[in-house]
Amino acid sequence: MMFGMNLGPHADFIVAAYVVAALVLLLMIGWVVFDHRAQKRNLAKLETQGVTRRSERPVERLA
Amino acid sequence: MARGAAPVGAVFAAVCLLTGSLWGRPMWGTYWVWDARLTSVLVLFLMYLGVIALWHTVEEPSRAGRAVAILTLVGAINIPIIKWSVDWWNTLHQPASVVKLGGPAIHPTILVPLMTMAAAFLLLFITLHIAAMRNEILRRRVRTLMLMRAQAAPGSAS
Repeated sequence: MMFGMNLGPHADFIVAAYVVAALVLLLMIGWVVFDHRAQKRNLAKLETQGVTRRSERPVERLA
Repeated sequence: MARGAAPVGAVFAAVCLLTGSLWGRPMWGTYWVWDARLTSVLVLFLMYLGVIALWHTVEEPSRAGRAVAILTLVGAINIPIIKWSVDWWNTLHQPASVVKLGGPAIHPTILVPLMTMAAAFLLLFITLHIAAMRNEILRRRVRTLMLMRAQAAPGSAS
């Protein structure tokens, strides 16, 4: 019995499959979110050092 | 595109293999057999890993992209093999039961949840793929800015 449901004789396998799928997918989502934050942090750090894209520079610096 | 898809695809293939073997144990009495479907999906998983490894091996993104594109084209041969492997080779795996002539061979009580979950995983894949591509764009921008900083640094050749 799990969550009030009778999953039958293969309950262990069913629960294990759900747990594995959930764990792997959560790791994947976590990695994508973490990676995004890391890249944003790198960009912000570079920007504070004055390194910016040409399109983001003020006009007078180009002249 | 491919750079963002490879890790997501590898994870989905891994989930497929892991949960599939957990299903195979009670249904077939074994976690794994070296039959055509299982082996071809394993090859798919390994090719995703190969694509990821290749990206990390070649430093210059545009050159890495070309090498990965060739590997992807070769790997695409595997896709129809996976689809029809259960028809071409007589194995433990059941033959095609969803996409086949004469309609699905699955009872609606299983088919409807299956299709719902397939749609959910498709949407999850699209979401993760887009997010991973956005990360790749940011990563390249960081790389470009770091190259610019290195060029502008005192003591450099220019």
